[in-house]
Amino acid sequence: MAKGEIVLGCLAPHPPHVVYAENPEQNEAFAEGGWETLRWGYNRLARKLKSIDYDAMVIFTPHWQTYIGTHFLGLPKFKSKSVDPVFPNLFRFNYDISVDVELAEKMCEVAGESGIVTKMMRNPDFRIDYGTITSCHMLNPEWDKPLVTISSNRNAHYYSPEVMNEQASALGDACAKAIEESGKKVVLISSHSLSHRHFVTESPLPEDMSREHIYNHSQYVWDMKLVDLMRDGKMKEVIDIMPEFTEQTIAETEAGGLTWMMAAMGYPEYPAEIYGYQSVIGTGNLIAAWDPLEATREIVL
Amino acid sequence: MHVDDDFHYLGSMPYKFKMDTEFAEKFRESAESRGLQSRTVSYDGFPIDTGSIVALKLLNPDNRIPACIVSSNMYANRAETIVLGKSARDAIAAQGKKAVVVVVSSLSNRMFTEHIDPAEDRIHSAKDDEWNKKILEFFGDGRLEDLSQLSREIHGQIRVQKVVAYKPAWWMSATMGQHNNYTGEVLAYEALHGSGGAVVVLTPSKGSVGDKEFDEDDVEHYHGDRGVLDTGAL
Repeated sequence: MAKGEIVLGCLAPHPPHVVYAENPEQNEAFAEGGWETLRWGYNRLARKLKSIDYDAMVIFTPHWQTYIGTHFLGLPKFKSKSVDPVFPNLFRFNYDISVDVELAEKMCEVAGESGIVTKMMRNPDFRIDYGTITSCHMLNPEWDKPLVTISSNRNAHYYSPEVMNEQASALGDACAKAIEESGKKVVLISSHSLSHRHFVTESPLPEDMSREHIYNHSQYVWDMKLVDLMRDGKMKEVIDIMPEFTEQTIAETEAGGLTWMMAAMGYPEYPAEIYGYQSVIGTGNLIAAWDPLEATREIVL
Repeated sequence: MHVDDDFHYLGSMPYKFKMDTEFAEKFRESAESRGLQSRTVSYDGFPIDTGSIVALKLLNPDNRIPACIVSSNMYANRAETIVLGKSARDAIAAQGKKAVVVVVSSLSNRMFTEHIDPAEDRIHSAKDDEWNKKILEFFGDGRLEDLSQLSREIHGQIRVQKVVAYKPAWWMSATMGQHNNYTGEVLAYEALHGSGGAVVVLTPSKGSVGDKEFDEDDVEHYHGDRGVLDTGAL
């Protein structure tokens, strides 16, 4: 069997607003558009994914929060409705997803062998979080690839962002090993925004783009610092300053997604493909991808 | 149907609750009149949380009493939480209702980070256990406002910092009138995967015990964040 490999890594933010604005048939709410910079960036990355041969998407989500280890979805199908707890007016999404249980079990097994506390999630009534749904829908609206969803073990809460970085790195190493042993071609997805301070009010028309801007300039400057390092291919440096960035910008990186993905990809020293940056309810959202294959790597923006 | 993010292997939690929507609307209106941002939610499939489901199913198993569930505002700190409590009190008074106030929270909240045999469960550390017992002593004496005043200290000492503050005592005391005039009963105290779980009842009474020197602000109306950096600048 040929060795498995990671064929692309994606930073894919999950504000439910972008799904709302796309008006897919699965979502009950209706929008007049909005957040085009992000959505068009997503559309372009989705087109690139169509040109890549892969078997499964592996997504690390901040909205499946676990405190006792790292959990993996462990049943082949999940079908229900996901309603966002903060924005139920925007996101009521009827999902029907397939899971690559074999790959999930492999990751769970290898992570367990490396000393990480793990658990397979096999309750059929379990509701899939909106982070997983938003990122996966925007990257693959046809939903024609199976997923592996990995919970975020909240080490930043229990210990510190530094411990989170260490443990997420260990999980990334274990997942990379599992992918290699599985023989599969896999797309990794780290589902989160960058700076994450929200506005505490919502405009009467949520898609009114005249109201949208970053929460404050400090958040913006931090986000741009990270974008610059990503463009320069300095991902080890990004992960090294992650604890500081996370604390300063209340970032969703606290869940460990980006650290996990970069560790699994060996801390790329090549430039990230930048697909778009835009604020959503004041948070900073970047769509980026890391293509290990130089021949297909692009300068997008 | 609800399934817990961590304890999914313990099974699914079917639920059907009777909500007091008239009260919820009044509560929202009261909150807004005191300067808070508030909304009611009425969508099929809206996710009810584990804490609300467990408490309502055990305290009100046949839905005899209609309920109102209020969310915990992630960014809110003491001022907003106190004002939210006062809004609940306004709504109860305006509708002339007799209400049972329930807060769903552990005491110390550090759980074991690995899977354990439930038979070997215990409070995560001696320090957590000691603080939990001190809190329960206050509850047993009916000293709710004293606990509200100690809330920041409790958060710093025995709460994993996953939220900005330990808000239950703030909200409960503000809703119930900000005093220590209660008869307190501690019905149970046990470890829950390392965290401290207790069932406590406070019944309004005449006597008062404790009464620390209260040094926290007593906020009536929420005016937003104060510009302390601007006003305090030389």
